[in-house]
Parts: sequence; C-alpha cells; structure tokens
Amino acid sequence: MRPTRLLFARMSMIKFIGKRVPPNTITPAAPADEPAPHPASPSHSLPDSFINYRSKAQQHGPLGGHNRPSSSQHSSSSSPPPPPSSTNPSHAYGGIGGHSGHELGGVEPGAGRGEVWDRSELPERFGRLAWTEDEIEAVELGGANLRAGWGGS
Amino acid sequence: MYHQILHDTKKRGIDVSDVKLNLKQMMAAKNTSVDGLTKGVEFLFKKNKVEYIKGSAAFSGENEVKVNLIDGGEQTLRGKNIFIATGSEATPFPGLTIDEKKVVTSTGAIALESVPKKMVVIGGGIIGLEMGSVWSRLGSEVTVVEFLGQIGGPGMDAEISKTTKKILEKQGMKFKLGTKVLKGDSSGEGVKLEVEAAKGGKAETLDADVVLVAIGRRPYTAGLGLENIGLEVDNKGRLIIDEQYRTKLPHIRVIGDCTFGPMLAHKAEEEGVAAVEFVKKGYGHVNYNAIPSVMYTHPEVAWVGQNEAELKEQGVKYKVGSFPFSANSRAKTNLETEGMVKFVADAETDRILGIHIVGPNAGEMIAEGVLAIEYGASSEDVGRTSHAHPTLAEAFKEAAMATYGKAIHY
Repeated sequence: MRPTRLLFARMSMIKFIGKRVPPNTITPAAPADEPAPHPASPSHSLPDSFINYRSKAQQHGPLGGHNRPSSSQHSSSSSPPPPPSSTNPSHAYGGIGGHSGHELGGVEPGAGRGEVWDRSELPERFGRLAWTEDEIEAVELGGANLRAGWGGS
Repeated sequence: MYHQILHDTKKRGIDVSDVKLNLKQMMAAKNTSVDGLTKGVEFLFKKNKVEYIKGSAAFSGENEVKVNLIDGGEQTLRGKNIFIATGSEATPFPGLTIDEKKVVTSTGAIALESVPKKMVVIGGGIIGLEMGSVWSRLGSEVTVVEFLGQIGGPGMDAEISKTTKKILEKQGMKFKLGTKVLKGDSSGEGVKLEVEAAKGGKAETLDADVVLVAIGRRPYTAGLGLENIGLEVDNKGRLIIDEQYRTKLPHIRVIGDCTFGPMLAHKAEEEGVAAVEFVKKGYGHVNYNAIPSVMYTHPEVAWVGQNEAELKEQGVKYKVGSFPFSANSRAKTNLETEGMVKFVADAETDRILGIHIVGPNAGEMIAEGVLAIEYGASSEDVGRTSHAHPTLAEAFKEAAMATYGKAIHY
C-alpha cells in the first residue's frame, strides 16, 4: 500500500491551465519598435542595417501596430477610446495611419441630449501634432535656418 | 516492400516466387501520389478562395511583384502584406555538372529510369541516406561518402547515428566517413570520383553509374528581385528576419527553407501559421525546440529536442535512458528488432530535453515525444503513462522508465 500512496503524491510536470485565451493586451518579448532576433537565427543578432532601417522607417509611421488598444477596450461608442500614452513617442509619429478609424473606436458623445465633448477631451489623434525641435527652431528664427540650408550657404 | 518480400517473408511463412521489380510502374505509382497531394493543395486554395497564380515572381517595388506567368504574359500584383516562401534547392558540388541522369540531386534520384548497378552518394546527411537506402533496397550497390566522422548530419545523436550506420551496413550499404571528394568526371559512360581521407591520405577512385549529390540544400531566392527593394541575405543565403518573421521592410515576411531554422516542411507550416497570426492578431509562436526530424530510411530514424553532444557543449547536466526494440514484444513478433529508443532528461528536474529513436515506426512514434517536450513533461510523466500491449510504443515508455528509474522488460 505504501508505494501506491506515494504514487498519488506524485505531481506531473505537465500542467493544464485551461483553454487558451489571448490576454487583452499582448506584451511582446521586445517592444514592437525594436526588432528582436529570430529564435533560430544562428548569430542571435540582427545586422546594423536592419535596425537602422527600422528606426528610420519608424519616423514615417508604419510600425506603430503593437500599441493598438484591444477591441474590448473601445467597443462601446459612447465613451471615447483611451488616449494613446503620451510617453510613447511612436504615437506622435508612428501611430499616424497605423490604424483604421474603426479600429480606434467611436468618438460620438453619449446618447444624452445636449451632451457634448470639449475638444480637449477628444483622443489625441484629433489634437495637434507635437512640434519637432526643427519646427520650433524654424518658427523662432522665422525660417531663416531653412532658407540658409536650402540656399546652400 | 520489395526488399521485405525478398528477405523477410520466407521467415514468416510466406513463399513468394518470381519477385520482379517493375520500376516503371513504381514510378507511375509515385507520380500518382505526388499529383494527388499537389492537387489536394490546389483544391484547398479553391475551397478557401485563395487565388493561385502560376509563374515566377520578382519584386518590382516594396508592395509590388511582377509575375512571369507560366501560360505566358505578365501580371503585376500589389499587396499590403507579402510573404516569401520560395524554399530551397540542392547545393551543387563544384566540378560536377548536374544532369539529373548520371549526376543527380534528390529530384533526379526519385526519377531514375533503371536501378543503377553502382551508386555513389556524396553526403551522408538525411537526404543522401534516404535516397541511398531506397536504391540499396532496390538492388543497387550504394557507397556513401561523408566528409564528417558520422552520418545523419549534426542534429542526429552520435549513438543513434552509429546504430543506424550498423543497420544500414547490414543491409549492404557501404560508408566512407571522414572522406572528401576531390574531383569528379562524368564525361565517360559512368562517373569517376576521386576521393581521399579528409585528414589527408592516399587518394582512390570510385566508379559509379549514378552519383547522387546530397551535400545539403541552400535557400532559393534567385530571381526574386531582392536587390530591387534592398532585402538582405546572410552568408548562407538565408533572408534575414526578426522574431516576427519580418524582414527590414516590416510588411514583407519570410517563412520556411529560405530563412533561419531547419529546412523541414512541417517547420515551414508552423511558421506560416505564426506569421499570419502576427499579421492578424499581433502575436504568434513557434517552439523551435519541439520540431521533429525524421529520416525515412528503413528502419526510420527520428528525433526531437537536443542530443547529448549539444547538451555537453552547453554544460547542461543530463541523464540518459534507452530501450532496445529487441526487448519489445511487437518488434519481436514483426521480426523488426533492430534499433532503440533513447531519452535525454535534465539531471535535476527530470524534464525531457531530447528523444532519439532508430527503429520500426520511429517517424510515427516521435509524435509522442514532440507532445511531451511541447508540454514540458518529465521522463517519469511518460514512464507512468499506460501504453498498450503489445505495441512498439511500449519501447518508448520503457526508455522513459529507464531514464528516471529502471525499465521493467530489459
């Protein structure tokens, strides 16, 4: 009897955690903006040109896909979708055009009569784009630096 | 089957006389199978509303490919996402021109018009051994020339490789390990190969009716117009991708033989699913440690996970358990007692790190091992699972038992 009792105490290494349900937000192993090496890559690294291209491509917007809010977060049209994190610079540039309007959720105010939103409450995509350092400098100098650069002097 | 009828059936009480090989009919049966499988894929395309355009494509822009259609003409296709899955081709041997008649790759080796009297296989990897084993069983005198000191390539466990070599030698195959091919001449009726020991030694000449070049495969990306969009390949010609199968142009992804990882159809299949999931859902996964390898010789060889040499190199402490088919009920009954099952498990946790099989039905049996590794099982988990008697699978259970304790029947 003793061996049988011992057997019952044995715990299998295989653990069943139930049906697979993707979490609301997926945290990739590495940030989407930074490509990580393929697990079967023999060198376990990416060439410099690859990473440089990606960081350059990021400026034009196609790589912001992984910061998308999950569909459950903005399925209701009565509330505005959460504004993208202001700490993530990819939203200032990379997020533009990265998602369809439908994907970003509705912006209509609630059903209540006379209920309106203030402009400042709208998601960030309806706001002004952040100024770049170059733009601020161009405004401050009245565009003189651009002209000088353009003129080649 | 032909080999079995010639050598095994008499012992089992079946007298078969006048056994003849009809190679033409055998090739026709092979073509029927291949056609059936190819048409099956075309049917699935139709069923799932996938447009199938037959031709060779080249990138003309980052979102555009131009296709030279097989039926003539050209078509331009634009895509938001583009997948490259162009596969691989046999690596040619310098100095030997492939004519697919006398000097063949695996493509020509499955379409020979007659059984060659003498066949030399350059390369003792999986493809070379599979093809060599086929023609050896059909009556050819096969010699395998391998540069390395073992057959089966780097993934095969050294002990399994040695056992396999012994079994194949018993069947009549000859091996020249640690031997390099210096040059070849196919200008005469047959082919002459000059070989010598890899470490240097006396050169000798091998005569063959057919030479099979099986020194490996290389990614096939020729004519794809990669230069038009600035995509890069590594020193082995593999397209460089990140963990999401993206090239540096993130909307172009690569799966299968033309990028990293083992060149196996089922690996490409898993990658295809994961890459589509990355596009549609933003996440996907392939466990590269749980991709099985199968060598379809007779008997088959199959493995999954890591082998002893790899673990030693990584400094992982492991324990080994094995069980011979000669002690298995069904193998004994079927008179197929050659080979063994071998487990390698973590010395501390007992988690299975690798499973290696040579013997009857190894290719089917490895599926259980892949599942065990995918679920992170211990050898005790497998050893305490009931396996039907009398089956070959009992050898699998017993090998697991031998890893954490002791096999009952050996």
